[in-house]
Amino acid sequence: MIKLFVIDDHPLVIQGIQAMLSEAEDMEVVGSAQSAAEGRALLAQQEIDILILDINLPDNDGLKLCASLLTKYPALKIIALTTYEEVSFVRAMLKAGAKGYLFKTTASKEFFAAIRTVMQGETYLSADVNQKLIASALHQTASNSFIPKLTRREKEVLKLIMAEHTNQEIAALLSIAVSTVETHRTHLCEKLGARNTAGLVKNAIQMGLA
Amino acid sequence: MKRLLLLGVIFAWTGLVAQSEDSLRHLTSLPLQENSAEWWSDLGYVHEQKASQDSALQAYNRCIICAEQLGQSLWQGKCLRYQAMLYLQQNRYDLALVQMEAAMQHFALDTTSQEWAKGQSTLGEIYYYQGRFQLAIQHFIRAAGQFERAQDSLRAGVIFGNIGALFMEADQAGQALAYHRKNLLWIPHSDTARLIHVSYNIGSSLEALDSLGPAERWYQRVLDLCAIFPMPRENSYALMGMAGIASLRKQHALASRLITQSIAIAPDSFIYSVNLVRLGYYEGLNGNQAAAYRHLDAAQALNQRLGQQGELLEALDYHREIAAKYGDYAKAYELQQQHRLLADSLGIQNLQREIKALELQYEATKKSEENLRLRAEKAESDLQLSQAQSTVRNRTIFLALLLMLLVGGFIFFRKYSQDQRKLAQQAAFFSEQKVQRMAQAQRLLAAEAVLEGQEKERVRLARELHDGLGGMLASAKNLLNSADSAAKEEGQAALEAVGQELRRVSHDLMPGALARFGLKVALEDLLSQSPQSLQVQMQWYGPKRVPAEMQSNIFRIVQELYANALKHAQAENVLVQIMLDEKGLHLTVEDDGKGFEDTNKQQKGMGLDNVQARVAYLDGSFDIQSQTGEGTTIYVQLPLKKHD
Repeated sequence: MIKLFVIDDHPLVIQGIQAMLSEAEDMEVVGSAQSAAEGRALLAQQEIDILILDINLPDNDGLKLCASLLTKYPALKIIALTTYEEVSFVRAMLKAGAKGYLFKTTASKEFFAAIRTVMQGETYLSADVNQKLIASALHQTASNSFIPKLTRREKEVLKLIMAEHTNQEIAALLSIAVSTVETHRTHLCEKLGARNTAGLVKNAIQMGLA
Repeated sequence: MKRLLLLGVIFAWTGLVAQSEDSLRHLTSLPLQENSAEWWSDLGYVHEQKASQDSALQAYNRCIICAEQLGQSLWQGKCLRYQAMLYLQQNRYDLALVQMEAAMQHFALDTTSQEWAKGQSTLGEIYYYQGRFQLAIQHFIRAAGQFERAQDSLRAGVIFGNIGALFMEADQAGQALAYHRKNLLWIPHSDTARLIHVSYNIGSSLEALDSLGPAERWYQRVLDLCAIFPMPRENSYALMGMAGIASLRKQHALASRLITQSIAIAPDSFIYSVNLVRLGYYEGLNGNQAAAYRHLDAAQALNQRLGQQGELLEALDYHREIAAKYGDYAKAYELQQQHRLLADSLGIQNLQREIKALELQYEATKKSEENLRLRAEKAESDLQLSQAQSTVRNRTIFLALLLMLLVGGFIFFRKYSQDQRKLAQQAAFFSEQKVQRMAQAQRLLAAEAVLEGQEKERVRLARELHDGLGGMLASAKNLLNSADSAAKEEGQAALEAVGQELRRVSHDLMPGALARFGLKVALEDLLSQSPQSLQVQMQWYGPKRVPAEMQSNIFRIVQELYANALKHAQAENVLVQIMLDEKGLHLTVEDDGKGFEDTNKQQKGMGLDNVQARVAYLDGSFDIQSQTGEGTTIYVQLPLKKHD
């Protein structure tokens, strides 16, 4: 018999899970709590296999609770049950040590499958979660890369700097304020990792941006 | 010559490091001293740090010449080895080998020295990159022996690791395992990173030896260690190894689950693409033809885009196997054709590379001859220079005094002009205040517009909750009341729809990631779920934290601008850049879509008035540039002061 414990601040959710599990023969809810503190206290008194954990709790963050419970009970398996669909939550929860990530809309069949998978020591992610992780990984190359991407205005300003124009001249040529040109110059230096104009020009050539 | 030296000093004082280095190179006119060779070697190192390899090579050349004249054989050898390592970095293996062979002659006197061992190790590396594994192993073993004797645990371990990797490449997993185990002995317990690395290597050697159980245990050890000390690359490779083992045991579902975990942590697009190929393959073996095709197609596209032809070849091969498994012979044939064409073209490329290598070898011999000739010439001219030196020394003192006067004058002039600029700025500030007061009146109007917009938003929300969710809930209840099982299923589906709607509405109200992880992560979430056809790049410079009260407004601004680029502009590339500096937050959203001519006319329909109102509310400025067919750039600047 797989022993489950539920921490969720909505009593309806806990009742729903209990009702759902009456259909399954190999698992049961042995306890529940509506706050992190209550859960922590109850878990110290009884042994369980799997913890079903909400991310939004009134007194503590589910993410933090997950990590701290796992340092105390390393053998504990935790499945997040939440309404958050964003990839950042999935990543944060897996990073905190959760073995599964389920939405609150999950149908009973998948819920059982998830619990049995996690019980065997594996990680369970639903098909939707997988899809989202893949989509987000596809865009992973797009963060700050070695060679920065310049905006059109930055390109224009860089071109004029390389043609040895002063800030005043550049401002006049692009009809923008001198202070704006200075800002662009500072930003270009930061993006290309240069300390001054000489470095800016050198790095721009090296990175093939000029 | 002296004038250049002066210039170099002035450049150094005014912070123009690049020019300073250029001029300081002319310090050759200094007479030869006891530590000249060492000094040149230091300069070479500085150049290397600044990634100017050509200058570094030149500096080491000078070091070699000085050391030759001073009879410092060790320094000659050292700099020859530094040059060899630079050539190695540039993939010019033959040049590296020529330098290294010369260097070893200087180290040959003492085969128990660290320098000799380091030389052997560099030789090993060169042969390794040339693909001459037997020679590489020979040299590595010599180096390792010496490092072991000298109790140099770091170097000995690294070299044992290299030997292990070489045996792996040479398909001798047994030998590889022995050396990786040896490496393990040299690792201090505190060095988790190396422990992870070696654990993975042992795992993969064991896997190659078909000891699947032990291999799995070592991979598991990598995962355990990575939980304490995250190393996404090794973590991902270990998961891949475990997935491979699972697949060998016909546990294909487990294999694809492990790969999915690996994808979640893939640190770069290369590992990601390798994983994606495997995921497709395992899904295929697991009976999910559609998923397999989808992943393999995506993997092929990704490899094509990244120019990873070896991996593309692998993806095509796997895809062919899966297609054949499902009896999709037309597809399998097509993939086979693609595979053959690519393999042929890679074969031709390899041939061309070999021809190029031969050419390089020829060049290298020519170059080493030229080096010898140049060295002889230089020695002669240096001799003449040092004779001329003493007569110039008096003039140097005079020039130094002149220089001090010049610099003093320069500093005084800078201070004076700075004061003048400050006065001008103060005058500008007062006239600006007048303008600001007028602008404030306008801003209040705009803020009212925002508040009015929020009111409207609330009304819309209430209606959506009531009409949308209320209706759906009622129908779901009714359906579930009638106890027939088909209706029950429909009812559950309806409740599912309710859940989705609820999440959408609440997400629209306030994205959860924004409150919890901050603006940057929330934006990454938003941009990461964009369609495949759109390339989105986000760049963030400066501090990662934005005042909490500004976050949601900035998020909405980006959301709106990004939605415009997606929907109206039909763009292919979107760049979102956020830069935080002392002036505030600078946001640029740029697309390469169709753009528009009349900025005023378009703004209303595209929700830009909403963006502008938010910007005005935050005391910021807003600038839009667009032209038909040229894309659109929107630039928003917001001050980071607290708003009340």
